Amino acid sequence: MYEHVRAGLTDDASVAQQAVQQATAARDGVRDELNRQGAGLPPLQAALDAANATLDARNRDVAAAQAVVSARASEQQQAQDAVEEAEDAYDRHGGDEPPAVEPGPAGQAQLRQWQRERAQLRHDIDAAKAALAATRPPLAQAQQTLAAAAAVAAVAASAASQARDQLNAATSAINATRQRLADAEAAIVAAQHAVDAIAARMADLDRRAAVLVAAPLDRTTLEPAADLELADLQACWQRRHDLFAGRANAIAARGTLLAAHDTTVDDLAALRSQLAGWSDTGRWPALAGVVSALASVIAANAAQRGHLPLDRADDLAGTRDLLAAQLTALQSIVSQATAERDQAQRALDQARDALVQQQEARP
Amino acid sequence: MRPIDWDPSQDPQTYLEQLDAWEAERDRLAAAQADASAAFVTAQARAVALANWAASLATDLSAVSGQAGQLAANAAARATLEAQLTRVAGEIEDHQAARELATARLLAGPSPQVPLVLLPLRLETRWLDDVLHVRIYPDDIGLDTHDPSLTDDELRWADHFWQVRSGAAAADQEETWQQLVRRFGPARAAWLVQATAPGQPTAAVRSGPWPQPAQARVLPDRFAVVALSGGLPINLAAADATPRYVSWTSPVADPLPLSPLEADPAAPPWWQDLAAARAAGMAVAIPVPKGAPPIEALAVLGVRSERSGAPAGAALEALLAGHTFSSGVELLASGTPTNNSGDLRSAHGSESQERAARSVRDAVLDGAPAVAADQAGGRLAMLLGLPVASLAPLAGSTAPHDVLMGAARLVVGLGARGALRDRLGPQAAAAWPLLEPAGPAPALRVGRQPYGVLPTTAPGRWQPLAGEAGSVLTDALHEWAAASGPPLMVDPAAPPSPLGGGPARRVTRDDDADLAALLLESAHSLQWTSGDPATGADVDGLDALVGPLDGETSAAHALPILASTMAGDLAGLPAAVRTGSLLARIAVAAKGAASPGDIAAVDAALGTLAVAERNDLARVVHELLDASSHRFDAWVTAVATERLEALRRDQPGSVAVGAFGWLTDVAPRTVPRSFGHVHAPSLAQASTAAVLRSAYLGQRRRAWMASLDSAAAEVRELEAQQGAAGSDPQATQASLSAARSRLALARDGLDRLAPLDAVAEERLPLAIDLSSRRVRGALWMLSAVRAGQPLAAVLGYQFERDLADAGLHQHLAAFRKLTRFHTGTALEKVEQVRRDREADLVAARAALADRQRAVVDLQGPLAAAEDSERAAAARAAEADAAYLPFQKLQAERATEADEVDQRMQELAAIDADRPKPVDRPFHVNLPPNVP
Repeated sequence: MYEHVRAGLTDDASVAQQAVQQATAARDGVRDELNRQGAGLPPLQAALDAANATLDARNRDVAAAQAVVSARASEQQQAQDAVEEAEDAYDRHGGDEPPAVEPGPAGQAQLRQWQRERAQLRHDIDAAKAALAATRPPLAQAQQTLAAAAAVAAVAASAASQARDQLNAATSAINATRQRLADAEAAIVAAQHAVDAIAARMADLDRRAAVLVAAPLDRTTLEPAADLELADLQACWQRRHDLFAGRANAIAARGTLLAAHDTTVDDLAALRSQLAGWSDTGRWPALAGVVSALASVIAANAAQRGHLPLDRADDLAGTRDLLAAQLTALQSIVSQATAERDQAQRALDQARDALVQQQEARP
Repeated sequence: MRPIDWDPSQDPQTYLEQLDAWEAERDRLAAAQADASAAFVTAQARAVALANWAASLATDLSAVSGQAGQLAANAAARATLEAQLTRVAGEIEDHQAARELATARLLAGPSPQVPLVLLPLRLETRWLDDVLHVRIYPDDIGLDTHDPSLTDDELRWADHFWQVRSGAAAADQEETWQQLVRRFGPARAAWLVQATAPGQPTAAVRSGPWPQPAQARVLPDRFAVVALSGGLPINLAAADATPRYVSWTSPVADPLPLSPLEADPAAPPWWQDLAAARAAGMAVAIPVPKGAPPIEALAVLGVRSERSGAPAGAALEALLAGHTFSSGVELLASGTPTNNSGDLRSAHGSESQERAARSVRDAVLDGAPAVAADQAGGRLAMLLGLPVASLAPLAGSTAPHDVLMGAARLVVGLGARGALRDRLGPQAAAAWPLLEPAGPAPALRVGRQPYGVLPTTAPGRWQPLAGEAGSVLTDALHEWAAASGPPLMVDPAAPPSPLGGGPARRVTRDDDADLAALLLESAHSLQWTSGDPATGADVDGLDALVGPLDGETSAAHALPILASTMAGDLAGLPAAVRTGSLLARIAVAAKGAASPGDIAAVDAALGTLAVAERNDLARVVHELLDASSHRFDAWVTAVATERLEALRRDQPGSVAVGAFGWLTDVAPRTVPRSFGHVHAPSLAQASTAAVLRSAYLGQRRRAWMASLDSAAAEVRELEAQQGAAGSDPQATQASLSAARSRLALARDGLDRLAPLDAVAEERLPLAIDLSSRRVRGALWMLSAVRAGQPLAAVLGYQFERDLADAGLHQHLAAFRKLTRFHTGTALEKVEQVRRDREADLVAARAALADRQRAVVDLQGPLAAAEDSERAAAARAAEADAAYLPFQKLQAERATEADEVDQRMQELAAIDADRPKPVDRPFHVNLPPNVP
């Protein structure tokens, strides 16, 4: 019983089982890919760790160099401060302008004293400047050391960043693969559900068949079973009617399509007439081939007209290929005609130039 | 070298020679430039033309490419649809088989190979609170009122009959029979003769005063009730519940008692009480859920299961035997009127009852006649699956059944065709001999009720068997079923066309000059017209169909002549013989079409037709013409009968019995069926009263509608006044309430057609007092006028008498003075005026009839013009639809044309910009004395 329904369900089950297998295979493939990706992750992590350690060491070197630079800079600042203090003292002393003294020895003495003090102050300035100058080389050396350390640290940072990027990319790839794995698992479940649903329908058919033939007759189960069959029957009728309507629409669409094709062929017929009636057709022998091909298309179409849409056997693909070849041929002819036109253009230009040259040239 | 002015130091002659050479060279170069320019223009034109054609071809190629792709997609879609259709067809087959298996088990029916005899049922329905109650009653044929036991009186009179029959008592045998008939009725008299016949078992004597109660017999085990909408069963289950299409009744007892005498007051019988009927399986309650489609029809079916010891055939035979001796049974000859009509009276009456009883009595006295298979009784026995002997005693059983029909079938089959036969094709000729348009068996009269026996089948599921003549109609049967079935079962791409439908009900033989014209059947089946008065081929009435009763064109005269004339010599016969009737023309055509081997059969058939009674002949001929032109049902019956005969041959004695009935227009009424009842002493008076009452109610409806319109207008006016300045709100509101009350009252009165107030009721037209007093008065007045009294005098007398009865004698003189009128001349003038007016009325009516005929004549051309307009509109719509996909192509073409124009303009601009040939005039100073 239900042989046709069962056959249809068996086909569906085959398709669904195939879908399960395909989904499982896809899932396994994704899983393998995930494993491969997972295996590649620890080396990347180790590389990142090593790069980070190197970076830390280089950063420490930089910090040490920075500390030396800071110390040297501090020393230089102190020397600078001493110079400025000495110069301030020199300025407070009056600078190079001697004080106004009373004539006389006192004044002279006072002036000498002032001079001795100024000499001392000058000496202090010179000494401070010498000290300041002495601080510059160590600072420059410390700065060079710092720059070198910073460069090394930058290289290490770049290496660490690269390692981090690789790790992140691998992690992202793993996450994406995990999502694909989840999708594949869901597809397996869905396909399996379809298989289970078909199996359930098969079981339901068995149950229904058993009710229909159960002996002794049990009206309380057989009456609803009969009504259920009628419900399914009406649903099938409705489905068939819808399919009928769909087929009718498809046939009508085919008719419309072929009518459109007929109109296109009418255009081709007009084109063929123009080509065939053109006085220059003989100038390009290939043009006769185009005309002949168009005629064959028109004749084939005329042979199909008058038949019902379903009975028509129009070879539209062949017509398309044929027309494509003719278009290529026609375009080739157009190219030839264009070349001739260009040649005529050049000849005209030459003639004109010759005339101009003849008229404008001076001895 | 460009010439320059002459240098006086130069030799003039040399200068002039150089100038001439320069000019010659200039001319040559200018000519060369002109030639090159012309060549360029030509080449340019060629290139442009070719480019345009290439563009056009590219456009067409693009279109073809798209069409090729769409066509491939369309083919793929159709292939998918075909695969799905194949699958769903298989599923339909499976569910149908499962459904049939379940239904067969639920019906407990016999094997599908056993033909089913379905007896009719009477159905009644009632809607109560969205529940459809269906009550089922067996028809007369299912009710057995026969009591085989005899009363003492019956026994005494039956013994007397047999004593007279045996000669033991001296009396006239016929008179003794008539005494039995008069005393006990014809059918019972036959039973008395049968029950007390010598050699029969002693008849039981009735113990009590009452006969055995009537019983319904041969009932199905239970009934299945199906509600239909659009030809399909309706699911009457609530939403989300298990589907429920079939409502089954409780089991039905067999036999089912009907006697009121045995009814228990505490337990009312099933035919009185709905609950008891449901319990007895003779009723079912069908709850109809909200939203269910309207029930258009109701079908009820049941099958009696196989019962050991009580086979269905024996039960049916016993039931008919019971009817034979209770209400009487006979086989009716074809054409027997079974109902009273304006022209004919039913053949049923005391004579037919007595004839039926006498036939049974004669079978008891003299033995039942031998009934052949082709006689009426044999034919009916075959259809019902009963032994021929069981029907042999019945009146009409030995009547020939198919002789006249067979002869007419042969002649009409050869001599005429028809629209339906043309549709069925030449192969339908194989099934033509099966046709019996009046049915394959005579009707059976049981009591007063005639029953036709009609084999039938499911045409849509017909499967031909090898060797069946009707197998040629298989496709037609399927198409007919599809055309008459629900639209859901039909492929909209290939809608079936109903066989025999349409206006072309025609019979013709296109290859025969005598029937060259098409004969279109008119509404009356005895009228056939060519549609062209010029051909004179109209056939109207019996005379034109089969010829008059006597005379040269009568069938009795013409057909023997046609039969005795060679086919080649028919043209030499008088026209009255050849073309005097449609039958004669068909006979001529038949002889012309018959093969040499069939000529003798045709001549014999014409001889049979010639001696047939004219009405029978006409009936048979027009039945066959109908079957030729449009009655496909006759072909269905023929096919079913052929199959039934084969089944009966294969399984003689196998009978299955069931019952069926159906109702249409089951949906609950939304308006009352009537507004009351009219009691009248006779049917004629009741009809008159009903007509007047209807007209009176129409006047009442008009009055209520006028009242409703008036009240509605008043309400609207008051509502408009309600917010108007200066109005008294309270007074307006009171008036509005009163008007609304009147509106509601009028609406209710219109709905119920309630009586108006007394004064208005009396003033209504057609408010006629139809009491017997009024009728007596009217009759008296009519008799007085018929006696020659003027109407005015009669009315005056009546008035004066009423005055006297009312004791108003004193006013008599004054009224006489007041109403003094002239009789004689003045009255005649009035009468003359009335006659003139009546003549005017007649003339006006005639003019109106002319106008109406003209309207009717114009309706045809108008309808044709409208059809043409509709067809043109449809074609235009189709053209628009077909043009739609190419609309964009035109736009593309226009765009490309614009582009070409643009290119041409660009080329023209290039040409314009291109340096023109230089042709400058030079002025040079020539040396003097140069000529």
